[in-house]
Amino acid sequence: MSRSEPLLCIEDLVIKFKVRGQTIEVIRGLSLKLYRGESLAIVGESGAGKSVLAKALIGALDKNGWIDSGRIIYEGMDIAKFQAEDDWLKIRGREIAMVFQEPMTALNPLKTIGNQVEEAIVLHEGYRGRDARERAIKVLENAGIEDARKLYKKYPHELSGGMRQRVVIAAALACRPKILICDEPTTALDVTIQAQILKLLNRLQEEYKLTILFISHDLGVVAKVADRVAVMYCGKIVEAGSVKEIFYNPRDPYTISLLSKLPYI
Amino acid sequence: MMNSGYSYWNSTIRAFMKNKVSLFFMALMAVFIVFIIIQPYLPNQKSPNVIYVDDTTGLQLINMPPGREFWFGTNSIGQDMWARIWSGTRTSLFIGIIVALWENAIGLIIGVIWGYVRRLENIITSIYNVINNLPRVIILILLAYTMKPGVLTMIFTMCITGWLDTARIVRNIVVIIRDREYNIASRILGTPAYRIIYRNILPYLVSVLVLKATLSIPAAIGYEVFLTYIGLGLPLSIPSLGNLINEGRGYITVPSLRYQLMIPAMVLSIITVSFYAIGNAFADASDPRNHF
Ligand SMILES: Nc1ncnc2c1ncn2[C@@H]1O[C@H](COP(=O)(O)OP(=O)(O)O)[C@@H](O)[C@H]1O
Ligand SMILES: [Mg+2]
Repeated sequence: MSRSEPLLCIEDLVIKFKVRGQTIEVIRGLSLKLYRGESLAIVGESGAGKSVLAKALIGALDKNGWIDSGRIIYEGMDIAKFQAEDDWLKIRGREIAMVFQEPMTALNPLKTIGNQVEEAIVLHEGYRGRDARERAIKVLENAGIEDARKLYKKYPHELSGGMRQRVVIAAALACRPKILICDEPTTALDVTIQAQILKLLNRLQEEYKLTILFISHDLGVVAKVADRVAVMYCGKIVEAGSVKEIFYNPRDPYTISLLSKLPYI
Repeated sequence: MMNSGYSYWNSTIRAFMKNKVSLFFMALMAVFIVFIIIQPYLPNQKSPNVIYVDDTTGLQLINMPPGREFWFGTNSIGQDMWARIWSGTRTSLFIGIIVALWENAIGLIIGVIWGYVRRLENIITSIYNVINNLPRVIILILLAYTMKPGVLTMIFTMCITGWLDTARIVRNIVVIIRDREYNIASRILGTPAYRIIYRNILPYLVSVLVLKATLSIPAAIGYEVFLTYIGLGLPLSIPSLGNLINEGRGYITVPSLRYQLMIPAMVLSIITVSFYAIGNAFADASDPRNHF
């Protein structure tokens, strides 16, 4: 896997929010490179701004927030400058897709799971009717839902948390994105399920040639999926390197304190 | 939603069918509406505007109590109440249905735009505030006063203000549901806005709109009665529940003539209660949250 070529380049990004008349700076001059084919984990404690960063990459900042300065270069475009919804429609799903933390709320409770995956296929791959359905079943199976055909007509509440997260992942994959952003995809799941989902992501990365941006506050999880780790603290990347470098030779004091909180190292 | 097997409408209809009381009212209204449409063509019907005169004496047959000749009696100038009441019901229901359709169609469109298109939010809010801050009654009175009395004037005056409530309610629902995480998730997987509105938000609006629409019908009739009461209603040559009730109002203290108020008031009550019951039951049935 060649790591030489950055696919996504974030330079000096500043994101601000307006809260009750006050302006707060949540991302404070963050720079980061995401290389093609790698799996990069962003770690940092809650409130560091990880989710804000993820949402900015896909044009989904809450409406009281904005990109104040900096650039996000993807395929020669500066997506930090995107304003119109139409610009984003070219990126969302087909270039960059995202998996959320909470698989229950990320699925529409009124639609069958099959439908929600099919929707993405109709939208992005242009299949219709029966073809779309067959594709959806394929993707669901790929995401580890073995009896996808039988579960096709089930509603989200009829599935377990782990299964739901597989559906969410399948819906994202159905768009055939180049970059998959996973914002704490296993935090809401219990540990054994967590491990299965992480394994699944590893497998899918190979299979779909994905570049993964993996967000977590849990270094233990990160060690399992990531090639590279970027440590985020108060809206900045304080240290980045390979998993080995970060775990065995941390330099930043914040990284050291994060590691010291880890129970099994 | 419909093309890919999601059974929203089936679930709705199934839930509605379980409610026997509302089914009864629905059947009642169906029969009622068919009846008022075909009533003029039934045998032995009289004309609502002819003044009936006694053949032998040449006197007007005024204030005849309900009987074999005049099934609902006659009014104070000798017109047939049976014919007038059904003619009036037709007029009033026509006004009610047109107004209800308009209110909800326009209210839905403006409400969705208001809730989803951020650029237009301020403009629509301003228009809403301006119209909403004038009491509806005053707008109704002003318009009814300046225009020629008639069915179209009546409809027009009510349509000017009628969409406000619906638009506000629709907007609130759109704003709430638009930002549900699954809609954001769907949006960032590249689903365009119109598709999210159509597939994910409209189902939540159906229940509210149906309730609004069924209540708009009796409410419009109520406004018609009110406008008539303050002297801005339809001319007497166009019977309506409003002017019938208004005419009958004078006899509330005369027991032998009270039928002239009671019968149209009864018809109004039946319509109001029926639509209310149907609307409520359908709103419950069509609320997607009640399907599970
Ligand atoms: N819509 C918002 N308005 C104001 N502040 C926000 C908003 N969204 C996030 N923040 C702030 O940004 C910071 C980072 O949040 P977030 O990215 O969710 O953290 P995390 O790293 O846990 O994902 C938090 O301090 C939060 O208060
Ligand atoms: Mg977060």
